[in-house]
Amino acid sequence: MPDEPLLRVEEVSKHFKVRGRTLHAVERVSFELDAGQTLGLVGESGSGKSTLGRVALRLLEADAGRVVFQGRDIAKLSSKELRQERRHMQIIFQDPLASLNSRMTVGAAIEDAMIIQGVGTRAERRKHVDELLERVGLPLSAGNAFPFELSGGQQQRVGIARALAVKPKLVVCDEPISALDVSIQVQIIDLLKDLQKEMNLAYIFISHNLGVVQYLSDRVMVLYLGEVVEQGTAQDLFADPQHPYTRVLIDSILKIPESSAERRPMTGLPGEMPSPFSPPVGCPFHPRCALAQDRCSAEKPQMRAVADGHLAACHFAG
Amino acid sequence: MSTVTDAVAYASNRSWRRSRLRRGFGRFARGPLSIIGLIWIIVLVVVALFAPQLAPYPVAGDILVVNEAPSLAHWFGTNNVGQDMLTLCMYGVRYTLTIAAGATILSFCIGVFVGMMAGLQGGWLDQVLMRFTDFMYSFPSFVLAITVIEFTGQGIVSVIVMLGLTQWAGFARLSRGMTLTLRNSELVESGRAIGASRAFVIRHYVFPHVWSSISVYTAFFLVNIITQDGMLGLFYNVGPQPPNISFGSLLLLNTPDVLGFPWLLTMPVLVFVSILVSLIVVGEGLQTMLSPKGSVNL
Repeated sequence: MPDEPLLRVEEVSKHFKVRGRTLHAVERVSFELDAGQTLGLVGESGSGKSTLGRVALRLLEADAGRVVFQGRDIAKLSSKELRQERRHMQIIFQDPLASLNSRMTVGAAIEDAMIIQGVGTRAERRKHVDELLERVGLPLSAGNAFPFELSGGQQQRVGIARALAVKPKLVVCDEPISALDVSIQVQIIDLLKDLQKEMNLAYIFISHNLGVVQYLSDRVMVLYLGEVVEQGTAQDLFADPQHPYTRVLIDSILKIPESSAERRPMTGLPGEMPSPFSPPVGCPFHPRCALAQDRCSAEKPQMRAVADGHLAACHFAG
Repeated sequence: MSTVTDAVAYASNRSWRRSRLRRGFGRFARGPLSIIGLIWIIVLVVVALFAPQLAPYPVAGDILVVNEAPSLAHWFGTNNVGQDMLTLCMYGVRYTLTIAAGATILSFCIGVFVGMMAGLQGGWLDQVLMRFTDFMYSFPSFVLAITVIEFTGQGIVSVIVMLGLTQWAGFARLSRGMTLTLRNSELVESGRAIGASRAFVIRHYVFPHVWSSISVYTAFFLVNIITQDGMLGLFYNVGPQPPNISFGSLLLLNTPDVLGFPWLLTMPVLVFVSILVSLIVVGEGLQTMLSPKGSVNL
């Protein structure tokens, strides 16, 4: 199968049982991701972005559906095989300080990843740590520092170095810039982009910063209440959003108007996302949708192609 | 950027593995009291190990020197049967530190095992283990200890086992709490994500944090154990066989004569308190050392 993608996610669902109730975190999501490509995941807090990223790495077990990584169903791997496979799939966390071991120096934390995967001799690992530090833009002496002694941006660089230490093919970036200053965000984004080119990495890039997602992604998926409401290439999706939710999201990007003629009243999205314990019948978005009609609360819209490679789940799309 | 420059200046060119210990000890050494406490504890440990060789007189006593005040010959004086108080105190230190170390290690192992099991497994096992821990916490352990010692007989091992088996509840609670916090943390998730086995994650990502969060408790626990052992000796006359003697028994033994010969009380109490104080001081220094952020100042 020459066309087998690096990662294929098929109809994956993830539910959490919370005090006897069922939380629908991810509902029947499918996508494919090729090596060297970036898939952007956008949506509000609680839309299931992070859960989906973790299910793709089997940090969480899917309740239904399949995750096929490099042609193998990762749910069928034994725990030992899975641990070995983790070498090829890594994650960068939102809060680098929380994800780094405060009792380990930065150098030890990066080397730790290689030790766990049994990579190289001691000397090779040390050398590779130095290379990684340099590559992510940290001084070599930072290897001696403890994570809390570094700034937020530097901590995230450590998180990236640690994830890349084992030369993965797929990296889930779980809101890697949300905790950083705006000026630092740009540096980290550029670093991620450069590294992707160099190492032919595939990214699943999770963010609620649409501008960044547009900049980084080849394809974008919009999630709402755990369901994909629209997906397409970054270009198509931002130029011609089909789902009303996507439109609201894109409209909510703050732009500084260049002339007073461009100034328009800000339109927010009314209300809150409904409870994921009891998602609405019909279209999950209908209680907040400006276009909603009777049909939307009765009949769930199916994903359908509105253009080549551009899908939306709305009765009125296209 | 200043943060990294500081860290860099701090760490200079040492390899990151060695510098960890050195820097830790540097923080420990910053508190002069911790160093004094540590030196005193080392002295006491040496005394404990070599009490039979170091003691100036035999334990048995000499009826020709009954109730003598402290002098050059008898630094701590003698009691009503002519025993040299310095000698008795040295054996007291030997016995006390043995009990403290033994009972603490035993409690630590039981408590941390129970606490981490409960925290990691959760569910009904957590419930059962923690209710049992609550029971042990509230149970009048002295009653249990004394009852069992009635059966097992007096002696160092019985005292260690009894204190160890009854006092671990605090260790269990603290380590469970820390384990629960860590279990769902991004730290543990990052370990799993990189492909570490469950055992590796527990050993390298969970236990070190559990240990640092209870290290200070451990120092105070030593103090608690030593006090409890003192009470066992003083109020229940539970203790070791001669020549070993607990500070509690020592006081009990001397009580009738204390009013006339105050050194019988002051000398053992001074030694006893010095053990407790130096343990506390070292415990705080230890916290400063183990916490990378090292904020405890003395």
